[in-house]
Amino acid sequence: MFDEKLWRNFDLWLLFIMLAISIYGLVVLSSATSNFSADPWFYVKRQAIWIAAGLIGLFLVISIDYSNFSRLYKYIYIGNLALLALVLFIGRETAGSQRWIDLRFFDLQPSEFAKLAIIITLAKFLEQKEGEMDQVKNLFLAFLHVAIPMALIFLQPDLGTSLVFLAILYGMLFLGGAKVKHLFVSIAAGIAAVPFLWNFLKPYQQMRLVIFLNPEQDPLQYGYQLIQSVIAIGSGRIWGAGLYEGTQNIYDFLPAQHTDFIFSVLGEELGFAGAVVLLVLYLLLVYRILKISSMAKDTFGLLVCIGVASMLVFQVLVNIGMTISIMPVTGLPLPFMSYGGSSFLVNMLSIGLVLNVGMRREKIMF
Amino acid sequence: MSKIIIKRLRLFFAFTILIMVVLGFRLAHLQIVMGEEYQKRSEENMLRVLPVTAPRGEMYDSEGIRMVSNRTGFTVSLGEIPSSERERVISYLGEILEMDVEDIQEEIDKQRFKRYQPIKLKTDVAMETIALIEERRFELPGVMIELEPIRSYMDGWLAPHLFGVTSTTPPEESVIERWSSQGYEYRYGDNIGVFGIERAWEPYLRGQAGEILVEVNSVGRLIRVREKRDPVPGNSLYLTLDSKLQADTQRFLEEGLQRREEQGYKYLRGAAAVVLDPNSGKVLAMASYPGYDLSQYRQNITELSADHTYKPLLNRAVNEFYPGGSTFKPVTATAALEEGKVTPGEIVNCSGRITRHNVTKSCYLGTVHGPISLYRALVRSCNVYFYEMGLRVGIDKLAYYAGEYGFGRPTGLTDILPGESSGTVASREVKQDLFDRGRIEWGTWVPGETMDASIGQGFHQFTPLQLANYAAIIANGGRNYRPYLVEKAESLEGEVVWQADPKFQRIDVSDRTIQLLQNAMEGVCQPGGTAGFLGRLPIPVAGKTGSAEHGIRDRETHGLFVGYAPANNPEIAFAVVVEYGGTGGGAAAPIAENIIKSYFDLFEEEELEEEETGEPEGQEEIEEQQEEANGESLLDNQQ
Repeated sequence: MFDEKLWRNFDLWLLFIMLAISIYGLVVLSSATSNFSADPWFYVKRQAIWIAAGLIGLFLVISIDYSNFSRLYKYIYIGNLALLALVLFIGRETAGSQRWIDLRFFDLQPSEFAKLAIIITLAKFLEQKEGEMDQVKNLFLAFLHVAIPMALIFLQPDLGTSLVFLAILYGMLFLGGAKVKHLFVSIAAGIAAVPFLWNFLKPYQQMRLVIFLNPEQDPLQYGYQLIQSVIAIGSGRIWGAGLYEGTQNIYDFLPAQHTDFIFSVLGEELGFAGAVVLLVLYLLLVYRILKISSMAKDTFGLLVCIGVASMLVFQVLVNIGMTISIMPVTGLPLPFMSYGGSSFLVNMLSIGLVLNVGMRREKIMF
Repeated sequence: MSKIIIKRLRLFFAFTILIMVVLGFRLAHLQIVMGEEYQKRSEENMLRVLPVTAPRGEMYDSEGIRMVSNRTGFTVSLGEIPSSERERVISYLGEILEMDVEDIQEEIDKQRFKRYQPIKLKTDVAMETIALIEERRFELPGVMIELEPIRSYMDGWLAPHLFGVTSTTPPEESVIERWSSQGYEYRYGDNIGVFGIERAWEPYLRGQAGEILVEVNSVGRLIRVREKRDPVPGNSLYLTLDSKLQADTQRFLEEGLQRREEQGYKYLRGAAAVVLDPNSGKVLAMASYPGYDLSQYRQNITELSADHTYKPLLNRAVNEFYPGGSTFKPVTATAALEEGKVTPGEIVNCSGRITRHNVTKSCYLGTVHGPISLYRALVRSCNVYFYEMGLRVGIDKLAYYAGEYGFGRPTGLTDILPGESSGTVASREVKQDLFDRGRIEWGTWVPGETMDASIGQGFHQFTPLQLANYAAIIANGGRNYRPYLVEKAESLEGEVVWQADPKFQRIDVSDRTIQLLQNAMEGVCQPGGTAGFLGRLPIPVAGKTGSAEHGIRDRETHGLFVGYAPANNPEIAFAVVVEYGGTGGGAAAPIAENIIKSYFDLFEEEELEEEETGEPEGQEEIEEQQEEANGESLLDNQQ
């Protein structure tokens, strides 16, 4: 199926780093969920299956020349909007928001797949406007391109994921030739609009956004989560309490300790050392992605890589930031660490896209 | 690649590094600078989230009588014991609870992943023991007493095989995994149905555990409850079972066996009876003897499972097989009529024996029935007639019609687990399969075996449930209903969350044939028939006796009786099997008679008559009539 030349350009390092983080996540997950059900390995087994499924997906993605995604961008964009609209109608409601479509085998979360769709279609858009992105009109079109799916996700409501779209947008605009001055102006305008947008948020979203400024204000709900998470991480000190030994974890103090707050378990049980290892792994991951982007044969490939990097960095920042109380509670999973099917799969597929760009960096002559 | 892009890529990476460094600094601040303080706060964190067991759903009989419910019991658990006192506390507690120290240690080890959740040591502890522990509170730090719902039974002996029991997790890994894969989660100490309705209806019965957030002191003693999420009790099940009929049926089986024992039967092992509503498939009673006491199940389990002679844990009604014997003859009759191999009026001469294909087979005890028609052949249970019919239709057609009556396949009762067995219908395939598996020495079908099969012997293996279902099909004129035990499930608020919907399949047998069978089976239960003594009942009964040979030398046949009543407008269909009980007329039919009397409230009327006449109906008379039924051969010999 593959040309030998393609394999020569396969970035094994990127794959290894991604797998290293995933396995690291599996270990922490085994501790975080040992308390959950009568079968202590239940979640670990499922997550392992997700990793395997993700790898299969990844290899499927790299088997298709990425220029095909570029060609099909219209269908991808429309299909994506259709799925997002669908979830508003037939989505399964959990905790007051409709994010999932029940697919029998697992719950499909279209907002996760929307990230990939937007990265691909925005890259195509920016490639078409290459050299013209200093024009405000084009900048405006790029914003519109992202705003429509973002609004649909915001309606679910899923604030965290819609913010990821902003991160992707700014990362790609930056590399896509937009003027830095324009970007700063738009950010300033956005901040100015916050008091107006604030009213669109549901009360619980407002609470989650500001609670990190003063967790004691709501010591029973969101504040409780944050206080317990900070205590957990802080008590880990340099070397941690040891795997399976974290009392905050075992006592069930940590909320959602296998999904959004898995980093708290890591911080408590493996300490500062364990946390730094993870940060370094993420840094290496981004480094490899940027390296591949710098060698891409076309602007589309380059921008796809930047979109993926922006998406991952933003999620790491917001998730870890949340657990250590310097970021609002937004419910974003930690890439390759948090338990959960759709987000895991999508992250894996996004790495597949990057590998794809790397493999096909040389134009093959026939 | 343009310079500006390279520059911006570098900036992008620098920004990423900046983010990681910011996170790193914040972590260093929390974990290194403030670490000691947070560690202290973590240790002082005296809040505990404790699960609260949800009461399991209750079970009611068809009249709304509560048969299985919950009562409050005391559970002794172990919280955190100060390490210096550990050994002393465990051995002292072992003494009070009469548990081995090793067993307690084992329970603790089992829960090594959740040391911080209280470890349940003993549930349903006696009040006196609780008082003893309460008095010694200060000598027993870390020991906790919790209130917990415990299963309680109106009568532990009632239908133990059907209700089944629950066990605290983990009973069997496979059970948990099955439910887990369907999204139900279990924690250590949760109750889970192990068999019976408790297992099959687990998702409805389990309810949803609650949680309490409590503050505890340094020895794990509860100081106050901070927050509480109440458990949601499981759904109540309303069963089709008639508890009075069930209790009576169980008693009749026991009495029937006793009577047979007094009559000198030496190999009696057990008995089973199933009573169905032929117009819906409702299971009205399902009894398997011997039984046991559900409320003592845990204490007696070792003893019960070691009894390989009487097998009290076995639900004979659905998991034991018997050859149908003569109760199968209506199937053979069906095959012959449907295939046009005989007419109801054709006379076959019974000389007491028949020789075909070099095999000679005879009627029961060599009885000679003389010239005989289909009706009389069924009423008198003539073997020779049915050997002839079996040979006329052949084994393949015989097997087909047996399948139509539901033999060799599950009847569809799914309300208890482990599920019913499907049994086998004698056929070429079944024999070949047994041969392939090395169970028998010869794989080819021979005509002698067709003859055996046509009178319900040989390779046939039926469950009492299948036999009762078969009687129900004949009773209702050819509709095969799916038997069921649970009528509806209701939430605590009274909302019906599940409702049974009786369904039937029309069997491939003509109405005319079924009518002929119905007439003949009514004849069986009238003077002159093999269960003629049933004619004394005020309501007409239809049935068929069977005395099934099982291949074990020196032991009496299994006594079988299948039937329904009232014959003209059936309300119940039933099957009774008495293992090694002799003839169907002698062992099983008297039990069926009592079941009919119980269902139609005929006992009271009898008692009233007794009072009026002052002349109790003598036991002797019953015996006499039974002998008459038994001694069909004597009567016939005189003919």
